[in-house]
Amino acid sequence: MSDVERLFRTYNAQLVRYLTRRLGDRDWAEEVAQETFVRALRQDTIVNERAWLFAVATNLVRDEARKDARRRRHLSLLAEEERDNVVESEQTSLERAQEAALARKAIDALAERDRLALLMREEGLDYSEIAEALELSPGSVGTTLSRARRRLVESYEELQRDREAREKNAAS
Amino acid sequence: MQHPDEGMIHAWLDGELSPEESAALEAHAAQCEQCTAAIAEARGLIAASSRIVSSLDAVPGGVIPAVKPAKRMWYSSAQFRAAAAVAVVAGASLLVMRSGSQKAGMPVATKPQAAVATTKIAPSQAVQAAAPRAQAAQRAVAEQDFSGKRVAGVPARGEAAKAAEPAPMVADAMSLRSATVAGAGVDLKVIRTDTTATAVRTVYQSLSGGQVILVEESPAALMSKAMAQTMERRVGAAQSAPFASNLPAAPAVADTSPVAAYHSISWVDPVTRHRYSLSGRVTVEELEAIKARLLQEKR
Repeated sequence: MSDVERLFRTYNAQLVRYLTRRLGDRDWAEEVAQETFVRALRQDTIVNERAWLFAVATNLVRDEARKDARRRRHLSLLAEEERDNVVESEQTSLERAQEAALARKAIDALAERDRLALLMREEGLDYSEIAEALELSPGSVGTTLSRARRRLVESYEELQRDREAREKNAAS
Repeated sequence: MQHPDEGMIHAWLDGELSPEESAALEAHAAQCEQCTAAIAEARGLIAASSRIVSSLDAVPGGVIPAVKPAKRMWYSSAQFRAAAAVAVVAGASLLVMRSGSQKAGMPVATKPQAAVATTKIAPSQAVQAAAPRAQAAQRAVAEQDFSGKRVAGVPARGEAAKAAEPAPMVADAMSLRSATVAGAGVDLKVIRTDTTATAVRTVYQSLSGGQVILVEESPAALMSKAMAQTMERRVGAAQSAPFASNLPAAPAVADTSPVAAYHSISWVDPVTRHRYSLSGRVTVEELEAIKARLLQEKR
């Protein structure tokens, strides 16, 4: 088994999930993950594998997003369209979709660095890996994460309250 | 020691402090009510944000393909029928051996919820030194769940391989419960069973080809569900994502036209006080027939 194959087997699942959460699109996430492993193939030595992969994937997303913001808009439009077309068979799946939409909004409301740190942490990266991938000082990761978590929960709750208020208005 | 800042508390809960730093923080927190409360809050934030992030994975009908439910047609293929005859004996013994075990990843759904509940119920409880370990355990479970999903995703991709090897699929279905509830002229197939702290949820293949969902809740579970909901109102999401993604995103009825209206019936077992609700895109008559079939099966 080649080194890249081992890297792929070990980290692809984590990386794809991280990217999917980051981008809101699985196909795109898999594309970026593949490109990341292609870069790894070209790299002679990688000291801290996971941090390196997450850093490269994050930068690829950043570059691509800068180059082609239109694509993302298009995809999110498609996603919305798709969601509208879904025949909800159950109340619960509707609720889930609404939750996912709220979660997406709350995540998007975070500052980029906070968001990435949080998503990396959720993939099990430790503080030193997060620091390396995001070029932070290791000592500031705890502060970054605590801020990200607090803001995420607060904005999620706020969005939820807004939604409940809207529903109440619509009902009355 | 001065009061630790929020970042340090999170680092401690994430298991990222050195042993010396941890010891100092624990010693301080044991005597400081303010910090005990801050730790409880931080723990709640960690659990809640974990849940919010994982609910990103449940996007039914979005551009992210959800984990595919078991294909509806696999059991009707000729290969399956042939293999089923052979596999019944193996399946039955498997069933006996594995009936107690849950499908990997299922209990995950309740984990974050439980964590949230604990922190919210008892914010002033003594600081548990075990917190980082609990956090790690939660993480480990999340990992397990994810690997479970990946495994579940594999057969969906290799359609051809699946057709060629029906036998393992039989064993798998058998282990969920007997795949086909035989007899009484009503052909009922269990597609999947999900178990959470509050309910057992079973997806059946209905007579007309759609899917119906049976939810069984015990009285105790209903109590804790009410509690959990109160917690959730404070914290956030109403359903946890891993559970969500284990369910079929939308029952695959699109290809059986016309799509029936959505109906639901419910009843309470007079003996166990368990509450059942059965719902799906089928007629009420059909739901009643399935209910009768299920009650018969219980006896």
